[in-house]
Amino acid sequence: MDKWRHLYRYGFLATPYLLPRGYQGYGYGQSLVYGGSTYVVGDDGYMYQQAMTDQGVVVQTGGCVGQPYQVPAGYDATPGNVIEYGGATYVVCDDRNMYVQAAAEQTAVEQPTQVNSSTLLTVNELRQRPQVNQLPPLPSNVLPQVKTTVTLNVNKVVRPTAKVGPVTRKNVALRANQEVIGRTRELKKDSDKAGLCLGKADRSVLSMNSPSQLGQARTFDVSTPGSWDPKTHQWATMPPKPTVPASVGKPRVPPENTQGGPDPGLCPVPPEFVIFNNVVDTLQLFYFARDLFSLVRALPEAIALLKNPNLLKQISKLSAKAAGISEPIGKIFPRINSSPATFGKLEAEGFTAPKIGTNRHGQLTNGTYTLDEAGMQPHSTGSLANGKSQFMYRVNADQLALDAAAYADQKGLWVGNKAKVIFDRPIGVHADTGEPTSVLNIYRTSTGFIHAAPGRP
Amino acid sequence: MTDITSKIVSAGSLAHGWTPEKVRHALSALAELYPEGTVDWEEGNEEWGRVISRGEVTAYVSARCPLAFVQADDEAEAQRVSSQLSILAIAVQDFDAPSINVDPSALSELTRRPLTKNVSYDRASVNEIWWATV
Repeated sequence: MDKWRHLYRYGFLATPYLLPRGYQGYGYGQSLVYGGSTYVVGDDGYMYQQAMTDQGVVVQTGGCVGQPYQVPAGYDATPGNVIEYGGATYVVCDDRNMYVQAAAEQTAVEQPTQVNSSTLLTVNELRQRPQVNQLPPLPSNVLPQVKTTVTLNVNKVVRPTAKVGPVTRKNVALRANQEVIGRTRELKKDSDKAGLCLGKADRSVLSMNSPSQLGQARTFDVSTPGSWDPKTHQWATMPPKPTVPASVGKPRVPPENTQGGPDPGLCPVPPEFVIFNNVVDTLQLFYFARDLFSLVRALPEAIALLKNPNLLKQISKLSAKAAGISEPIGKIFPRINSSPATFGKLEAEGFTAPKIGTNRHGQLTNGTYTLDEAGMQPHSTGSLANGKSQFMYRVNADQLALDAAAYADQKGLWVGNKAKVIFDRPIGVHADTGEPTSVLNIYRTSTGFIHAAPGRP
Repeated sequence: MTDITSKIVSAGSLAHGWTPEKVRHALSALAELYPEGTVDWEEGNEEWGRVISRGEVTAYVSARCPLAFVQADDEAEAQRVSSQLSILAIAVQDFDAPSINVDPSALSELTRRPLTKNVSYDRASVNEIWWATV
């Protein structure tokens, strides 16, 4: 609790400030106005912001903020007295009312302003913090109910510049945004140095916690911009930007640039604006920032791992084990033959993909199945706007579909007229979740036509 | 040959309010009608959900509108399904038999996508209709 001691001083979240030059004569309990804000001097010689009046919080002298409660009969109403009542702790203020100390939780989202080693919290510390809604109900005829938490909606990244001025919630949020974006830029620089950027062949999957589910690790592909979806509470990964046009078969129209701006090329615009596109409040930004800092710290180790193929293999095995797969990935998943520009040739143990050519109608065929271009088209637009899963741009989906259909024949994967083939790497993104998927759904007719789409991961 | 164009248009007019929850409910209910019936539907990605019974598809339920193809011997069974699930059910004996005639423009309008020319819509099977619009 020592780390939080200063935060709960006077019953509200407070940041200690050194007394400015010319104010050293001020003593405990005295108020002073500095930089347009009012501060009160604490017993430790530091001054504390008195209140955040722009949120309509009740301000009392002596730094007491929050809902005033009448001191129950039989308790000492001397200012400064601490009262334990109904399972909660209160402080009696100059107005002879008492203020719940846990009300400071309502302002806890200000914590991101103090982004340094002393105030960055671990998951356990965050969990240990008192919760307002854990307070037992108080007699309604004596004490009013604790106010509900205020939800902020002013913390969009679109306004990342912090104003110079009082520590209002708005400014706190803006400063937090600025801090996060600054740190993310550092991360981006580190990633670029390490070669971990969009469009590179080697991808790095690192783990981070999702904001609302602390402790639940999620993997995050740093080479693919993603965003946190506050509605579904899931990470959404956006389809990759076009890099090199697919060349096998007929040329494909590059996907739309759904995020606007110039075509990013190999190492595009810093990803932070994409990453934080849907992050809506300061608390999430704070958690995200903490995770990003961890990521920066972990980066050298991750790079070392990526350079060691044996270690990488170990990680793959562990991942497979964690996913409930007992066999090595290479043995159970068909592999896709890679080339720098495109990939799409399916390889698997004991399977040789039939040769692909064109029939007299100009349609791609492997002799058994003929590709239906109209069926493939909705999954090759490069946009999820129509609610259709999308192939990754460098995937040669036509060849992959025909090879996978032949593979499904050999392995008996058809259920009725649909088969699922799981590959050793993502081949597209799912329409519903935006997640990368290595699952290919193939649909066929009894007359031998097929089309395919990335399936649910 | 059964012309299903009017049924597709009718079902399309009832698309508003046809939610994924209702699709799932209809699929689950249909799965109970068939032995070892299971449901296969990738919500948000596939336009039709399937009911599989012993490895064979026995029903399709549209995700766009309250329309279903059910494997049934007579229309009376489809009527029962229709009334129970508030869905327009079309009974078909064999999903592979070319027994359906449909106006491709109506089908295209319903599915909001261009249709393949690799299906004869004046002589199509249920499986082909599903395949062209899934």
